Amino acid sequence: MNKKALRWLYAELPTLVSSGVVSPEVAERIRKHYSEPEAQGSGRHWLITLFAIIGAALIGGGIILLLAHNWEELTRPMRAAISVAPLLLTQALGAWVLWKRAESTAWREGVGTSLTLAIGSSIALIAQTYNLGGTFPDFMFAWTLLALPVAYLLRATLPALLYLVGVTIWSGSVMDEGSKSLWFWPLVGVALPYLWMTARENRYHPRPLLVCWVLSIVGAIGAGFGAHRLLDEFSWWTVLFGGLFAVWWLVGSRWYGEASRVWQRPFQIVGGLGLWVMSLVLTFSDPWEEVSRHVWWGHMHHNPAEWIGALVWPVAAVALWVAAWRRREVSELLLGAMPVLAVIGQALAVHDMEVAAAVLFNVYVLVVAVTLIASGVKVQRLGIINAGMLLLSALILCRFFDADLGFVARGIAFILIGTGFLVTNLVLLRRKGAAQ
Amino acid sequence: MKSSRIVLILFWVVALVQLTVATSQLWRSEWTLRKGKAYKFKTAPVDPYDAFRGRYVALAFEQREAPWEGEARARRGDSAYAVLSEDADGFARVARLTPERPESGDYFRVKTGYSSKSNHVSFSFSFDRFYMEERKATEAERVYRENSRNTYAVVRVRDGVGVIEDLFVGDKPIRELATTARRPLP
Repeated sequence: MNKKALRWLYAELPTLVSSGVVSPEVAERIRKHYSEPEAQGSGRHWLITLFAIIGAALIGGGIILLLAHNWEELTRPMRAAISVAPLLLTQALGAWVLWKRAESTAWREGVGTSLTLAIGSSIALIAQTYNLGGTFPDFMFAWTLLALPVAYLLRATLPALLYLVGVTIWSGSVMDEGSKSLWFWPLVGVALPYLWMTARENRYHPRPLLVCWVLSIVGAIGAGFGAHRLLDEFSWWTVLFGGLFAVWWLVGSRWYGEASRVWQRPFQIVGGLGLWVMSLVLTFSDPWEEVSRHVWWGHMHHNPAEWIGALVWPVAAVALWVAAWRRREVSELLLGAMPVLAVIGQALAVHDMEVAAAVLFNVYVLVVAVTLIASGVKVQRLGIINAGMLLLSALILCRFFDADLGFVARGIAFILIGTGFLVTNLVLLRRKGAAQ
Repeated sequence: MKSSRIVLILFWVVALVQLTVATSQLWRSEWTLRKGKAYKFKTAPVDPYDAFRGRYVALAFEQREAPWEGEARARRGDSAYAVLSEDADGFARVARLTPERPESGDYFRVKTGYSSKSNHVSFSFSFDRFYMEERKATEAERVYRENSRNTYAVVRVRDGVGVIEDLFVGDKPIRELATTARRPLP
């Protein structure tokens, strides 16, 4: 059944009922007739897709391993023919799927995955048959770029994910070749229309969400690869990664704010956790001492693209933060402000005020944690309260490990925090139960 | 219906591009091996830690630099042409390196390295490995290392492309030696 048609039908039903064309009972029967079989089948449908992908990957990997044995009994032209065979076979399968099975997710994903693997194996096996040298980055580059159209044409998500991981590996492998790693961003850019294609209808569908999860993780890694020369010299990681995670956090809150499950919030989770961990690390004075040994600006002899690639994140974070201001979500704004504090901390540290920078972040984490707890209590959401308490306990434990305290003091601190957690949860659960 | 036909046509176009790029090296190499002239290149010992990679014998070549024939200085990492000649013993030598494609003779592409005072430039070959069956590769590597003063690679050369055909220890292909060495001694 066509999903678009179904959506249209469901939107139309209330009008039909109110204008008396169908009775409410008939409308309910229509809903039951269409939605129930789909709901029952959807779990099985995903399982079949999953098995198709795993099966395709295993068979593909097995064939590659068999061929990598480099059979000497076979003549060279025979080995060359066998090297190309998986590619030809999966291409033919891909065309058949587009022709006959275009509506089957399992077929599209399974064949798309094997075709992606076959491209890499063919290039590698031909190189092996003819003893070609060739560098690893060149191989990765050719493989990923040749495989990307598979994701678009077969509308298959796993090839798109493999592409994103592939360009990240490529970017890491060219780190010592000047600013070549920065090509990571244009390469990621050409995969973004795929995300748009899948998110257009329903952005909370597992497909676009999977792409978002991988994108939010490889994006953080790729940003580090692209800016590694700046980071080596200026120790700007606080501002760069603070900006990047704040962008993730604010983008997620803006476009994925209505998610009902945790796994439907990829950018918020990766961004939020990144900001938490960074802020907690920056409550120690050691990272700031490291910063103070570096220069503030230094010589601007780096490629301008490197500067842009690093500074675009804090700038974009501030822009998104200003845009989020009118929604007045205090906890969203507080966490998103972290890069601004990082810049202030950086300024303090280079003027030999490392302790002040660390104190600033202690106050910041404390404010974030207390605000989370308060807003959680206000809306009666145990998840938010626990998140705030987790952050607060992490801050307290960090200070305990910082100070030279004995095991007894640390043990007591652990017990007190654990008790706090249990008591708060018990009280809140009981209150919730009483309210209901 | 119409859009699905366009997708199918696009898919065939993409498949053709994938096939062309993936097999471009195949045609060139096969052609070179069939029609190219064979040159014997003396190989050099390699760092044993670097050499052991499981599935191939890592190669290094005895000749590491050659006279530079370009108007501008050679820059590191640039591509250049190595023009070949043969010495009295029948082994190949890179007679000169030039930035432009030579008009005659046999040559192939190399990557330039550092320049020395006497206008010599170091270079690296595009081929640096010889693949073998996985069980034999380790054994072959040992044989190659122990006899590394007496090893050479046969490289076929044509139209700027060089492809390794075989690796010899003494006068025997390393494949044969790796097989015989595994048999128990009488």
